[in-house]
Amino acid sequence: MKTKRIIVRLDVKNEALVKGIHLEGLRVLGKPEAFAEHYYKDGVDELLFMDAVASLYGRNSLVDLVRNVADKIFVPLTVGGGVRNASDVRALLKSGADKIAINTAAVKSPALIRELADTFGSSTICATIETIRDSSGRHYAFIDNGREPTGLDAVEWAQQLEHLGAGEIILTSVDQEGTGKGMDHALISEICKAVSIPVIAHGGVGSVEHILNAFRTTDVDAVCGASIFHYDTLARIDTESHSVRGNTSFLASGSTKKNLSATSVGAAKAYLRHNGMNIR
Amino acid sequence: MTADVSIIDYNMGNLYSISNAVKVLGYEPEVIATPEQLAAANMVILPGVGAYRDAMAALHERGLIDALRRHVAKGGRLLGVCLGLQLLFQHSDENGGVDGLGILAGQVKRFPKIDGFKVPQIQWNRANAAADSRMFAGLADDPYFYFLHSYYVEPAEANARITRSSYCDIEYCSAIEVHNVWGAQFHPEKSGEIGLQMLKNFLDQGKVDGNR
Repeated sequence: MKTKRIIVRLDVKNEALVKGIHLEGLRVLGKPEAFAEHYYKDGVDELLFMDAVASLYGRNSLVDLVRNVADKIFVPLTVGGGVRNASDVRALLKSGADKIAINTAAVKSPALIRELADTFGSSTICATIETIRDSSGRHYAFIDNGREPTGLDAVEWAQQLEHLGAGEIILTSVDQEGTGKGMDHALISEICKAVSIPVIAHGGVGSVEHILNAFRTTDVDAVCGASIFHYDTLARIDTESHSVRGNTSFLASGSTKKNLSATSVGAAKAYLRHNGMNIR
Repeated sequence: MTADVSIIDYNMGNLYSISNAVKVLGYEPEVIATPEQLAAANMVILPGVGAYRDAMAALHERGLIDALRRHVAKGGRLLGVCLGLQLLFQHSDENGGVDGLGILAGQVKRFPKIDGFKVPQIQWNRANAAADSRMFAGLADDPYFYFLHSYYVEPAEANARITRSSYCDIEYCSAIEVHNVWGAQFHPEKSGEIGLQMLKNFLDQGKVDGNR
């Protein structure tokens, strides 16, 4: 039986772990290193770091963060956001990243995926696809956190990415992301059936049941969550928010996030194992 | 002061994480890239991520192929990780067929296309340790390690301790110990505390050797 993976996504702006909140911009949750170490100790399978403002600066700025994290955390690290070329990839790999996530640069020049896969190995290159469903039910790929359309059919694009040498797909449903209402099973299944490389699904996880349902209903290889874990972490550890800049008004207010059954990685895994999943 | 373990840099692999793992375990790593440095090395780790053909070309360019064979022939301890394990063998089917270092007898093959199994294998998977395995000493039964690979090794060594894992409906060799040569298909530096323990078992041999 295949082992399923639980991955936590950390969006990073400067030195802060952030969450994009509709109409609020980027909300600061604390120091990403603190969150990452907590998840590692709690048994997370992999960590995904995304540079939240890469499109603003036109590049990825996470090299220092990755180096800090790689010093103490010995599970796979995937890094993305603003990665444009082989030089960017090399810098991140040298600082401790194992896999690189690419979206925009691949859309603008698909041959880049082939070049990167040939240089660094397919297993190093993850292609990220952000999807939005149109009125007919078809899914289209977007870039820049779901803001800019590409006109590419998500399924066809996934197949092309595999053909170009991507070793894995990170599939984010922009429609579901941040809603905590569950994952888009139809989308996930369509993509899983279309490619023979592993697929990581992200977007919509609001409870452990959502994770279990995604694994039971689709053939997805890994589920990636963010808010569901971060808001639990906030309640458990000191995330050193005093040391980061940014919009910390949420943290100062002491409120909790509604519509979310926040859980720890350890508790989520125990729940999944208890329900018959093969999870490390 | 000589380093405890020398990690080979041939431009193909995540050296940073392996170096960190070695340090966290209390040992002193060094990164080496020349045959001279290899000749003076105590214990050696050959990492590797990427394509077989590129890796063999890179080793050849740096004059490391004979140096590696000499290190092993004189009894030097060697640990091959991921692609580094595969390079130890005689031949790989990757890239249309490439000859390897030939330090261990056997071939490297691609996972077959089987319904329900994705290639590359990117997941945590259990390893069923060989009896009397020193690599897995002190670890609980069938521990999970992190795998990220499309090819696997098929050893033909007579006196090997072979650890097996299951994927694509086949039992493949996920780790091997042949006297002074060890190899792991998984990434010990990415397999959490269990991976670190396995790495420690390799490094602790240096103490037993009395080399320091």
